[in-house]
Amino acid sequence: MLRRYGASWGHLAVLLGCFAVTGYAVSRLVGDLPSLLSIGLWFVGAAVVWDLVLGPALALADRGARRLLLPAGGVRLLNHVRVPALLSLLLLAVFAPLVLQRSQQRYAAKTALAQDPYLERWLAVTVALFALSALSFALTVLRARRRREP
Amino acid sequence: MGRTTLLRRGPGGPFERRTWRSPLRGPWLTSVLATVLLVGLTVVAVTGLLSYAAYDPQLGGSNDRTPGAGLLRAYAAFDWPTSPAWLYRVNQGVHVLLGLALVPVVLAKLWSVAPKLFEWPPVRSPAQAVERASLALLVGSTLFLLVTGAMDVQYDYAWGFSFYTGHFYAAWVFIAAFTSHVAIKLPTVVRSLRRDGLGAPLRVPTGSTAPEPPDPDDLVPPDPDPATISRRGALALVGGSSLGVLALTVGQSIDPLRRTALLAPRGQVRGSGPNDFQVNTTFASTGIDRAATGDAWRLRLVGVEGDEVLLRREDLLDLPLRTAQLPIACVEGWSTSQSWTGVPLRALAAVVGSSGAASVFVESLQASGAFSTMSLTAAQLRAPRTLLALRVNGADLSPDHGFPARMVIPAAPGVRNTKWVATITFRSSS
Repeated sequence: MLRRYGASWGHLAVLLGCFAVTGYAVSRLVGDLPSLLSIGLWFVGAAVVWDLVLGPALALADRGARRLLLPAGGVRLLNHVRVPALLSLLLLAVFAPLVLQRSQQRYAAKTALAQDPYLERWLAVTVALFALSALSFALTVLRARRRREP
Repeated sequence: MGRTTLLRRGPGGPFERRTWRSPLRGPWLTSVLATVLLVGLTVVAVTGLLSYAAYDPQLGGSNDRTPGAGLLRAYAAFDWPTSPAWLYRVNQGVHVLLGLALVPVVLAKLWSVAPKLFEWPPVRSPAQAVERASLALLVGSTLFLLVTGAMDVQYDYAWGFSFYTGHFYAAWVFIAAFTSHVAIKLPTVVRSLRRDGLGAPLRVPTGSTAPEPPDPDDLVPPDPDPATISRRGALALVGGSSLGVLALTVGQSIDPLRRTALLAPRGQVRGSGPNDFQVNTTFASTGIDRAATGDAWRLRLVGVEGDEVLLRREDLLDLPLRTAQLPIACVEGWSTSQSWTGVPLRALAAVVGSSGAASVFVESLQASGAFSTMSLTAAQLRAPRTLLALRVNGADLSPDHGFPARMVIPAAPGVRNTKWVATITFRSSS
């Protein structure tokens, strides 16, 4: 029996516990079916969008960057583009509602402020990240050259 | 390709192990990221559960955001403490800021195990099928909680369900799936960190970064590309991203640093006047008639025996006042500490002979709104710094901050500090 399952009884017990809690949580929400369905949609959607859309898109973009930049300037150039680009994209992803002003009206009603500054701020942070990276790239190239010509 | 060949070899693409080429993927890197998440996500989960309890859902009404939760909220049936006053401020600051800062670590962890999603054959044994189902719950709930949390603190409610409902139930799915994942995988993490140590793999530069030896979980690529970044570099990038998110948000929870919170929802400064601190819900957005907050306003007190007293704002100002430095700490993670002056709630209870009340029901002039009424526990009634505030930083409250009077409760979530208070009812039962 255990051989047919493929792991220990502990493994099965732990996972049954996980499904029991999940089942109970779902059962408490069945009375509110519209909420349950839209929560389920976002639950599945979040995983699908990351695993099958954003993740692969990032991997493809990185493959493109490697093809383009590795022959031109090696690993050093590649990473000096990769790092600021990745940080900038991360900040955009996390703060998209503010940067893209997706909730301007509600934000104003809640805070007595406007969301206008956030796009500029994100752009400014992005420019600063690329500028710092360019500076560090120039410094490492210079240092490497000086080492070669003593 | 014949059917049997397809089954044996798989559909190719990501299902082909040779597609995955990063030499960094392997049990060591995954274990390091897993260890960070084990600590970090545990803290986020615990502070989240505490935040739910801080509403005192056992009081029912507006305090209970998930009335059907049953056993899932049994743990929260204790009275939330009233001191130290910074309790909720710190709890919620940690919950939100750490949650946001862990986004890059979660994504890096998912990247590190991405080939597992495309395993072929997808199921080898019943045990593996069950475990993969639990992993779908883990990944789904983690991303769901990060997405709804990040959107909620930025006022983007595009989901079609109550944030409280979604975030609370998904949190329990997460806790169940996370606990079982840790129970099953902890030995693997310990084994691979013991085998390689923490320091040695970090000292290897990019040029000599090689894949780990083949592992039973097939994380290590069979046909890797040359490394373009060292393990140290990759972890520095992930850690640096976390610190970057933190640096750009932490100021919204620390008053003197607010200007540094460039990308935080509460990273804008309103001015330097006594009422120029962060607003939660403007007066204009409530639809309250301005005349109702003027000379015609009366505070209605209802005692445990049903006796009523009406007080003008001048009557309240004639009572012994108390000034206390207390934070407004929002469930959204931002906070601000101000100096409030007002009548201690227990003094108002005494006016209607209700010092021994078991709970307090506070109603706002707001006709609608999820938080236009709120209940307080007996502990909050008795806390000497629970105030019906009339002034802040030496000035009258502004309309946005609750003029003519608002509640300020030490250590409680900001939303419990009802503004534009109209009626306070003292109850003999909770």
